[in-house]
Amino acid sequence: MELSASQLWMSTAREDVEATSKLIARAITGDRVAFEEIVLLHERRVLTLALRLLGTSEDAQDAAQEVFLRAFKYLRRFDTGKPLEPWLVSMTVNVCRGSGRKRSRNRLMFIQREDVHKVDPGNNPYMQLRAEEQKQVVHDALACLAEKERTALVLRDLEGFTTAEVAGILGSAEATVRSQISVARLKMRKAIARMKGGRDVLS
Amino acid sequence: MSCHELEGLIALHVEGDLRETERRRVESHLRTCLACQSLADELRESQTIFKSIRQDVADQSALSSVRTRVLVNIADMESRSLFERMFWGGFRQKATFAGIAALLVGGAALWFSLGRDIPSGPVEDTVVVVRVPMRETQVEQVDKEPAPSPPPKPVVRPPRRHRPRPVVVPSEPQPQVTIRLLTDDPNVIIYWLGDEKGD
Repeated sequence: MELSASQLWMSTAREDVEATSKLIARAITGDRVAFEEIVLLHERRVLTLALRLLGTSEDAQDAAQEVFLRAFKYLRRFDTGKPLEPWLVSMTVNVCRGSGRKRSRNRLMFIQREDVHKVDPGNNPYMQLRAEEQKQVVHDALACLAEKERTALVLRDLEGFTTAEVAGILGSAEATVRSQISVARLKMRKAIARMKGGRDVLS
Repeated sequence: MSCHELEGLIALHVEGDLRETERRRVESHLRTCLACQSLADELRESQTIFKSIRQDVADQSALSSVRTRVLVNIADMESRSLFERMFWGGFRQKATFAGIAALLVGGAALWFSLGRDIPSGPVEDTVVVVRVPMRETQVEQVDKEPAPSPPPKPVVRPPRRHRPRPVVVPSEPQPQVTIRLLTDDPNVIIYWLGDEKGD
């Protein structure tokens, strides 16, 4: 059985919360090294999520920067009894929503392949090529979704949150989120099938 | 419920997002409907492909770039806030104190000016000396002390003071001296009428 993001967090949360709260306390008093440690701990998750939501490395980097600057600004308001990462994820979603509204939809050219760290699927060049093609298909299909559907799907299926947690992050009703996830999965199926079919025909 | 209506539920079912009652209903339908079974299989496959991008994480150079930008921005923010604390913050504090001091001084000045204008004790008597010449009565008022200068337009007007009526004291008749001055012109004679004082 697959663990949800919150369950995974819960296991590491207790030991992390104390260490994080100490770091936060130091950062609030102006210890820049402590804040840098916080950034180091969470930058990968924040930037990857921003990249999945926004599609381009440039926008994702801007969004991640904004997230950490906001975190620095509002660190005093954070409840140190809770884990920091859900707070940062929620902030990332909000920042990406804001920056997504500013951009024109035509600009959305989903993830530039050189911006992500590729996991080597093996030494077989055919398998590598196939894996790369498959990922490109997914990114293109994801780019076709509406912003709310994409956000809900990414949070549920890529970030591993439960539907209730996604609803909490997005500030929506759970039924609305379920509907968005359902519609997004059906659209992804169609888009992937169409693109695969098109490529098969071309090849 | 038709297959089309069940599509949404099947999309949730493939990832285990349905409640128990919904799950049972979908599973019983899937056992009998080949089209929906095919849809469920396609959805599982597309979900597997979709989830394959979970392995993709942000590039190390992008992470370093973001971190550097964040730290530079924070240093900039801190230096700016230090400047504000030193200058703008101090200025604001000083301006506040200066304003309070000005209000206190102004209030004190107003209080003193009103306090001097409104007499608290009985009004001092004024001694009036009146000389009565032969033909016309000249009244000359001499105060013991010079009258206070008028207040510089106070906001609150003081209650009106009733001036004491001059007490006319007739002086004793004094012998009059008449000096007659003759000029070169016989038609012009100058008379100088005066009171005799002392020698």
